[in-house]
Amino acid sequence: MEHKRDPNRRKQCVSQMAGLFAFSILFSFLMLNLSACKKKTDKKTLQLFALDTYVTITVEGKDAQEALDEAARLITDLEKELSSRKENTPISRLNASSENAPVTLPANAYGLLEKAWQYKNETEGVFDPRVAPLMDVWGFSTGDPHVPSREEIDAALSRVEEGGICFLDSCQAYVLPGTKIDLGGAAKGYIGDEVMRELKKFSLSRIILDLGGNITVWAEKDDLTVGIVDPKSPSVLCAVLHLSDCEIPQSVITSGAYERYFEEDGIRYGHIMDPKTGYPVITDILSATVIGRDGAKGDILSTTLYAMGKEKAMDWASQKGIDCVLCDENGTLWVSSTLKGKIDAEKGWTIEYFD
Amino acid sequence: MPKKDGQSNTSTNNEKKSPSLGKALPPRNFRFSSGDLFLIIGIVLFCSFLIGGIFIYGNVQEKRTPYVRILSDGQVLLYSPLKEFQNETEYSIETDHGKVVVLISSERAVIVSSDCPDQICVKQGELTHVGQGAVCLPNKVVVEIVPGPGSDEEQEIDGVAR
Repeated sequence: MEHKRDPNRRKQCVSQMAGLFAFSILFSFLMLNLSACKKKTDKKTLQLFALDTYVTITVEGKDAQEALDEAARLITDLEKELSSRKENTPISRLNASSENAPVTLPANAYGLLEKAWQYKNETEGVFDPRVAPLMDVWGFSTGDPHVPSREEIDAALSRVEEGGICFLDSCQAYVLPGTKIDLGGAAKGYIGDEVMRELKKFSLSRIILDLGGNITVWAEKDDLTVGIVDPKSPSVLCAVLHLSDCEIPQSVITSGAYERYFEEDGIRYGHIMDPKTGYPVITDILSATVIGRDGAKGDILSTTLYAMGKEKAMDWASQKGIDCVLCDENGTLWVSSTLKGKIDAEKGWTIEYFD
Repeated sequence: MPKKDGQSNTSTNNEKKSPSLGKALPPRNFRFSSGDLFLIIGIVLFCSFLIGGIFIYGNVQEKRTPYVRILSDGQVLLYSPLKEFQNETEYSIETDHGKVVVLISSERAVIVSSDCPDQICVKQGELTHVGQGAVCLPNKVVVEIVPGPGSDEEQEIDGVAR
């Protein structure tokens, strides 16, 4: 390019540069705005007190609002069907039934009851839907936790041992005298499955259900991360799970007595009962988390693994092919080897895999 | 454009042809040298970085400003940036069931006492990071640390199993 001290040319050059400068700025803005627009999503959250806990549902997609309305309705309905604590529910009517006066249950309640009963046998009684009388005498279901007298425990224990359900045809059932059934150990997981099944019918790209810490997730294409609470300090995490294949719903369900417990005379009593001793379970793990496709099963098995203790839980989990994370007192996470590469430990925790 | 002046001073050798050709072919004035091209690319990049930097920095700042939110039976009682609480502030929430006391400072929020039998909310301890929360079921009170408004950023954790 030829250069000359020509004021016209210089002017031209300056205006050219100014134009380019303005253009550059405009261009930059445009690009940034474009990238900023992409982030906008239809994300909606519903929070409510239900199922004796705190429920948070987050959905993304076109039908977000409709989906949340449906979820709230469904949770209220299922709670009425499956609760034994509320008056005049199918389960409370079942508890008042007898051989001469069986009750007809809704399909949901009947199905879950059968499932719970089946797992009572499969877990050799570690999980037991008949445990309600013990929860009552220990005050966990009445909001007044305390150590009961030996007589109270024995009376409750005999009700548990002698209790039973008789399943009849066409959703009919009755209980043996003294039996009190509570589906609390399975209902939240089951409701998670049911709500997820219904919400998937909507046009959504992501569904996150948090039923009092029972997590069920689904995403059209993304991978999702689910944390596990640190049982030693419940405001932080002990591990983070990276879930792939989320186009099929997955549930992450933790059991432990690190939140629901009370102390008396310096001894800590957790809310998970041992149906054989009548006392809270004694275990060497702080929490057990089960990852799987079936939330009701995960709910039942996380309680079972927690109650079994580390050695038995690891044996049982590998034998049954359960993906789980067990947190122990020493800050070790005992993780199914099938979860290799899908879990990161948080500060203060180390991972040991088992087969 | 002092740089341009400097350049033209040093390239006096080429000036001989320019009077005639310059007039005959005015578009030549508009042709870019590789230097000009670099300058333009430089300006574009510089602007992008500058504006982008400001934009991203602002976004990150917003995202990193955690808010504290207190809900009582679904009603929002408080929703403010944590950093506004330079002085430790105590909130007493009266509910149908009793009273919940929350202490908030610029770093954290914590339920210090609650009229409830299980005390699960108090056992939660200090809440310092986005995503943390404490729930008192009997009182229907929720204290949580949430991202600031307008931060559409995805949270790192989609759910927390407990």
